[in-house]
Amino acid sequence: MGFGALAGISVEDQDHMISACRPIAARPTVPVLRSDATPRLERDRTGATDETLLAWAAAGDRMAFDELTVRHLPRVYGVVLRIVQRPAEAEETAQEAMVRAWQHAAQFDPERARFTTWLHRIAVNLAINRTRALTLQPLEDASALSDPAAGPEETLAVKERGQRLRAALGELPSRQRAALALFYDQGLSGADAATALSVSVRGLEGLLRRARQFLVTRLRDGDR
Amino acid sequence: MRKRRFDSLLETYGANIMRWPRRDIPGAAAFLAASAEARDRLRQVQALDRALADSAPLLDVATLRRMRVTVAARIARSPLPSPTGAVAGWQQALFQIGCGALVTLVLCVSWLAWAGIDGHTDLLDVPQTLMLAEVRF
Repeated sequence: MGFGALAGISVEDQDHMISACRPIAARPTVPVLRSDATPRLERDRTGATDETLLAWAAAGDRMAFDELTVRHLPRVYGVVLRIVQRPAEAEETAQEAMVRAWQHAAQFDPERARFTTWLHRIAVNLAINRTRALTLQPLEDASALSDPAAGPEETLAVKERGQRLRAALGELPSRQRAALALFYDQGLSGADAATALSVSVRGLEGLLRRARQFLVTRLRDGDR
Repeated sequence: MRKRRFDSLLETYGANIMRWPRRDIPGAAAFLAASAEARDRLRQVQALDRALADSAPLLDVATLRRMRVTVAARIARSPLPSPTGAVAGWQQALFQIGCGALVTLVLCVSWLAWAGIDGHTDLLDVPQTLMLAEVRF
């Protein structure tokens, strides 16, 4: 199948994409295959580890990289959207992160970091840079990020609280939002989240603590 | 575990103590079992955790599919990954600077050697000439 045929994504691939949203820890661990000797047509891309796929991609296997995109794009987009808070910009930034990962695939060193940490680092750096060029959207627009499936039975108080939280999140510095996204949304360990943010674990703890304290204060003020 | 440490971890990592630093989990579990106040604090923090989880952006399949196609198209047009990245580029720049410095050094040494011989000869020649003149007269 040529690479151009990717435009038509099968239902199985869509399921695969959705399943990629589950936490990293839940993914099955497959032994790392470092051999590039396997002919491209015979490669088991869905069964290969991230590191093996990236090694294949570094050698020019675009289909291997597409498998990485299927697995990790949802996560990358989720983190970037949490940081940038604007869907259109987040979409562009997440795509750019994947393209950067492709361009730098040959420089990835599996002995220095896990693939997911490396990829998150690329995405977070791009997203933080993006937010510096943006003025974050006001509270009214932030409702675009709310759950579209929320039913009418949801109480007004809960809705308002959710809106206040989203507004407060928008006021946080982008690095604090990134820390929340990596540690809480993506379930990364403290060490991995710190590496993705290029800070020490103590630095990450500071970011998380300040973010939570700010959110608690804002929510408490709103409840009064 | 002391209350202060428990509160600090709670305010940093949230109410799920299994996500706290591994070395603190047993102490936190014991403290939680022993203190009603700690359990109450945990419940308060759970509210923020739930709110944060509820506020996580939802991702729809159509958007992800569109993004995947865009990424694939961009990669199809991109050159193959190159091992020459930032570090290699930095090394290349350093190599070029080093070569330039070496050439400059060679030129300077050559010029000094050439100028030094001439100058040295001149300097030696003056007293010798004077000495010869004194001897002569």
